[in-house]
Amino acid sequence: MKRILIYFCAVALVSLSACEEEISLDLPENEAELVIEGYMVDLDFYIPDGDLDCSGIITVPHEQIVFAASLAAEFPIDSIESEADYFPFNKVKLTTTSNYFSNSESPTVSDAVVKLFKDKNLVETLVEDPELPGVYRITHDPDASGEAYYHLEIDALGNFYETVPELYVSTPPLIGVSANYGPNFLGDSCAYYMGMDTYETPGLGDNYRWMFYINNEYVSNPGFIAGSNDDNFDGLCLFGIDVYGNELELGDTVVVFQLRVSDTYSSFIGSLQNQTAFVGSPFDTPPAPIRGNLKNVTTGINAFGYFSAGGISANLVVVPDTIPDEPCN
Amino acid sequence: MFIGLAQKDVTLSGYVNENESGEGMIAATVLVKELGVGTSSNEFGFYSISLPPGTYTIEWSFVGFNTVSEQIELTQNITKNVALGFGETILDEVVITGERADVNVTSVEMSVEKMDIQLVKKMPSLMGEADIIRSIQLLPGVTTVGEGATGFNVRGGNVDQNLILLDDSPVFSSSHLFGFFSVFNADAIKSTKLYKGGMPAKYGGRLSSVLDIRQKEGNMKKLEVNGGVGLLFSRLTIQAPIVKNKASFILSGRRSYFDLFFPLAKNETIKDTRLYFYDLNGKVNWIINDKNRIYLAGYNGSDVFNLAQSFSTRWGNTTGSLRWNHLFSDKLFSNSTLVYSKYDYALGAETDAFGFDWLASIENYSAKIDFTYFLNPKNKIDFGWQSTYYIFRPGKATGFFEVQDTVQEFESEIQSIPAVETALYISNEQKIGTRLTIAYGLRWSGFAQVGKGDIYTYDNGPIDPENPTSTISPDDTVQFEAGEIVKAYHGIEPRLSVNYQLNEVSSIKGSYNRNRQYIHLISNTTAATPVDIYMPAGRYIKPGVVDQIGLGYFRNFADNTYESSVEVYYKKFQDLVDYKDEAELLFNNTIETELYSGGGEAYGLEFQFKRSKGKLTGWVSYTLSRVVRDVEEINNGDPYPANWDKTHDVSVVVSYDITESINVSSNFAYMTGRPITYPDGRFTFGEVTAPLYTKRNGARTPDYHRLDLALNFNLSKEGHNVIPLALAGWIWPMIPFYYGWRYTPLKKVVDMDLSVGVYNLYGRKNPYSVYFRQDPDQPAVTKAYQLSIYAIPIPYATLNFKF
Repeated sequence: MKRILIYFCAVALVSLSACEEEISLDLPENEAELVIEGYMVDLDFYIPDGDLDCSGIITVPHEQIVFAASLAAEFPIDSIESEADYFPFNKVKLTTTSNYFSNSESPTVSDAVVKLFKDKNLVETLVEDPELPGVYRITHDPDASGEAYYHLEIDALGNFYETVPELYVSTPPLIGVSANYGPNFLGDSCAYYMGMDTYETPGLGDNYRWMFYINNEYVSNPGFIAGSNDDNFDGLCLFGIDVYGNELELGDTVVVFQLRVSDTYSSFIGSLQNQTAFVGSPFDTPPAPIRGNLKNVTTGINAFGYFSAGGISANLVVVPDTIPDEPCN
Repeated sequence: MFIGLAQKDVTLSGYVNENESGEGMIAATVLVKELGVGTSSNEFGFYSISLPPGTYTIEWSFVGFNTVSEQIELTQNITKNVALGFGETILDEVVITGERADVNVTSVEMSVEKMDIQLVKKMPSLMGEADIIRSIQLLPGVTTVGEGATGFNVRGGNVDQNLILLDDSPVFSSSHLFGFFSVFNADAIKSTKLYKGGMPAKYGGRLSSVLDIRQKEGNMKKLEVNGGVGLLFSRLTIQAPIVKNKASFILSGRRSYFDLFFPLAKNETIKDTRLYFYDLNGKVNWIINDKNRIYLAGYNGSDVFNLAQSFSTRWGNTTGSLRWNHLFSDKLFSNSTLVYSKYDYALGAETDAFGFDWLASIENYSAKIDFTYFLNPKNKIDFGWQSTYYIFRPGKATGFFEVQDTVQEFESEIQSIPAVETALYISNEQKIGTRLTIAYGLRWSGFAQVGKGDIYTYDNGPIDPENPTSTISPDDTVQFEAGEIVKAYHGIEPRLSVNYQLNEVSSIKGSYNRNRQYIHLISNTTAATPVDIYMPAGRYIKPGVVDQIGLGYFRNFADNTYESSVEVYYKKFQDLVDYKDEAELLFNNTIETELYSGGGEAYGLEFQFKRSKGKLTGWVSYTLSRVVRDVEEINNGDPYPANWDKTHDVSVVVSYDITESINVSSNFAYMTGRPITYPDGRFTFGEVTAPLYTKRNGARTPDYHRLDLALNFNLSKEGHNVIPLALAGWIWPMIPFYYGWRYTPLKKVVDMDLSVGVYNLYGRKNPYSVYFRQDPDQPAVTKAYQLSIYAIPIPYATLNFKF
């Protein structure tokens, strides 16, 4: 809601000659600290025991859910890895912080010792990808049949690091993705918009993140970070829901990944978005540290970034090449 | 002259009114020449003075008005109502205050500022709209976070620490359009008084200031109409007697109208957009008899923004007060008041598939009674009682979303919170000898959050001290019945002011006050927004407390033509509310898990030099100050500057009468840049380059400075024609109107004046904020940007009329 208010504010400010301009500043030098970006995922789906009751409107038989889930399970999540410009799944990427105006790629951290633990038991020592410095691959197959906590222990930069344990939980399957022609939010233009079919695991406290690839190119704009908890959708069937929000171009191939994430990951990614996308208005939240789940045990100070674990589902749609004949309303 | 000895005192009392309109005159001086003692009228124009029986020469005076002098034989209590007429000097002088010229030296009050409405109207202003709040920001000790910020900051206090009263009704949001304009229509306002410290015991409930605004009562003698037409606003005020010299009314309205141009746009969205604000003030005043007067006042104002049919927001104040002045005797004056006040705000959005409406408000009902007992010329006792019932409504959301052609509705509400606040006070202003005046008092206040409602409980508290940023969930819920006390607080608030008059032209003053505040504005944005919520003290939120001491030296020169003052102050805050990083405050029914409690201090030096008489008037002020917050969970426990900490603050306000009909006025303001948090580095996550912030408010934005200029023409006077029109020629729609007035009989009955000016004359791009973003095309490249609210000079013109 406050984002909408910011839009109103922008209109008011423009009407009174507000001005934004780039400036140069001297900022302090940064002392490098470790940054982690890691996702451990697998095609593990929540499937209800019986039929799926969609708020009494329709009931989907259990067999259909199982079938739909099996189709979703056949979508190979790493099928676009070789084509995509960015593909973080089942990898741990280690970099360091840098000066704010360094304006170059973040330095990578090689030759680190990265160990994966499940319920405090070592299950894998990750191996660095020879083609991708600083990237350590996860080959472990997580087991979603019961609760399991995963964490990493890392020796790097002369320090010892640990991530806070993450509970690995399955995700509902992304049954389908569609491209629907219709009006925009304001109702003054028409285009194709994404629609997603899935259902939500009953019980409050679930969090999700969606990632989008348009023609194998990851949508990386901070304003497009899409995530939600289930406060308003707990246990509901979701048909044609658009979590992307932007227009789709004719002929685009859209791949959507649906990840089950933890509450702390949601806070982290929300904070990341607040501090990068929603800036520049007098009414934005003041600057604040973006707290992840990596700790520098040697110094006792928080490091940066996040290691997440959870189920994943993916699906795709190809946007038609033409606009439908019927009017858009 | 004959003075009776050893006899019981007798009392001279009555009302001092302005002759043309019958308005009560605030702080008019009543002087007993033979004894050299006197008093002043209160906010209703009432005065009372007790003397030994005898014959005295009494002078009633008010700066700019003719003094009335009369010899009175006082052998028994006498009621004497006096009307003062405009003096010759009112046409030549622009006065800062209507009080006696040396009141800054002689009065026991310190840290008090009074804005003369006539001066406010001459000062250059944004879009030509005389603005009380913007004007007081040019006074020492008063700042703002920046342009576009709601509210104002007084001596280091947050915006919610100001008690703003409009005819005794509290106003919770004093701004339109995010702080660009205030809600107070200067045409409806009679007086404005700001207490920055040394608050009398009758005021309480806020930590940092009281802004006491009184509306006009209405012309008791004749119909009076005045108003103004500007580029983006217009206003109209009508006042008239209902029964001549007995009852009157005033009705005043103001509306912006730039949205009236939107239908001309080609864009359909803009065509359907509505964006405006309005204010409506009204008052009825009835003199029942010599001992009883009734006042009924009200205000309604709102900001409205509807973006086509898709998005809407609205916020506004509604206030009302019913007051009864009663004279129990010539010495005992009472004012009984019933007050209603509501501030509410709403957001809504709607598409075919999704829609919501969100509402929140704070509403209160008050009853109070204030007594003034004029014991003798050396003792004036004030005492009274006040009780307020609050209803806090933090938020209710309703809406719908469409799923497969089926509409699902939802409704969610954070429960309302009732609360009660009560206060008792007593104070005395006592003259000791010829040099020393002391005002001392005690206020007791109590507050209770009451049911009906459910309160969450936390086994280990709502904040984890080991991990304060973590999210804590409630462990249990306790239910409270209607009226059952959830949590209560109370405390005493001593007040003391001292004036030691060194000689006729100088004095030293000191003050101490303790204040308690039981309601907090919950906002974690740099600038408060109209949709920030108010929350009461309760189980998890404590009331704020401040102790303030002040010391000042006051000196006048050249027969009170020049006034100067130097004041130093120190404030110690306790139990202020601050927020977790990234706190979720909107629509959060466990808001206590997002809040921290801490302290702080503010201290400073204020210097002011003022000229009050002659063709050239105005003031220069300088404030050196510091405001520091101290919250254990923030900034690693290190103290940090508050968002509104501005080390240096300079204001220069000048008004010069070039001729009888032409006046030029100018404001210059300079302030140190506000505190801001700069990044210490950056990291990359998911192709997003994010800043690293560690030290809160460790840097400052560039300094702020601005120059405004205005020319004011009294068109009803002779000796002008071409000059104002040449300057205002670019506002050509006004020219036919002007000639239509000038060459018709209208000129004989309608007074007209024109104000033209420029806000931000040299187009200074004052930085409101500095923020950091990655380049959208090159994610590895990060840049710093500055946001300025006003980047160009903003001209204006306003045509004012009166008949």
